[in-house]
Amino acid sequence: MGTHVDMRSASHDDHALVADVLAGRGGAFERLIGTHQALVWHIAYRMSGHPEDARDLCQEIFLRVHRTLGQFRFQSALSTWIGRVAFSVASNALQRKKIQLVDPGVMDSDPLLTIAGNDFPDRDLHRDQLRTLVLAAVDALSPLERTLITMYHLDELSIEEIASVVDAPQGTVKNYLFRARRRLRDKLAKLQEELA
Amino acid sequence: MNRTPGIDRERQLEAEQALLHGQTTDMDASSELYRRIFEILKEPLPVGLEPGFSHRVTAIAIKSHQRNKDAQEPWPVVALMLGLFGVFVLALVQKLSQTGWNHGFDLPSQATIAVALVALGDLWIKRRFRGRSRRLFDLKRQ
Repeated sequence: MGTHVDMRSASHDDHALVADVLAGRGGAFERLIGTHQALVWHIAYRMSGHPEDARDLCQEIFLRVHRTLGQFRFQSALSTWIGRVAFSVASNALQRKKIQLVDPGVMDSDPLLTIAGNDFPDRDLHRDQLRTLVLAAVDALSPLERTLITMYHLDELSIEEIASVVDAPQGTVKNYLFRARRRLRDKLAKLQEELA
Repeated sequence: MNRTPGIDRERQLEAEQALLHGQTTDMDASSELYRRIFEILKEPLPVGLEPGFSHRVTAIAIKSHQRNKDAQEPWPVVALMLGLFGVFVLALVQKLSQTGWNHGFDLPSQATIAVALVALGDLWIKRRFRGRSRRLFDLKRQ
């Protein structure tokens, strides 16, 4: 990644795939699902927090993608557009269940102050134990925070792409990510204390 | 997509935001721990979709698309229905205007009422006869 050539080839692939799906060519939409299901799953799973809900969401997301693909104008990568659809469908699902995207009050306080002086977890912590702690800490974050963390670290989307997916300014995304990471570290420290 | 690989990308974001908050970054002090945490965060998250997911969803999507397509009237039918309804509404408004019903309504108001009635009629026609003429044409073709 990272070159203009990559961008062009990705865009060319997107054009070809979208054209095939819109023309109703056999296997085209299955190909699209296969290519993008990991990103959609990450968003659906991180937003809902439950595999069953995430499965239902994935189906709803891809049906929406199929229905609205004709509106895709190639102003972004296809993956970014699908991510935006996924985030929108998942956000609506959370709203229907009256679940907040961000924990109330979390974004109002400054986590930098609350964790000042906190020690990091033991650097010699066993890898498996650290893994369990990190995954538990990610699960304990708010839906938006864990989705951002996953898109940034696992899917390796750029800040620009994430901003486009969640429809927010890049500065806001950076700030949310920064705070989410701080909270993650805070939670790790607490979890380690509980385990100790 | 310009991606700064590995820890540099994390350090850049951390430093940038710490600066924004008027703090110094402690990234370097904990880089080893951060590196391990980032490694864990980059571990693949198993996709919990069944193997036939794409096939199943594609089948549903195509069926749903076909159903929506079937539900749409051919445009000449819609145009004819709307035209007839428009003529009926205009005749009605004209007739009513002769009885003095429209006293106080100027021509633009009459036109607005007529357009509103045509729009309502359009909705009603689409609901009432949804897909009927298409199905009729399909039957004739068979």
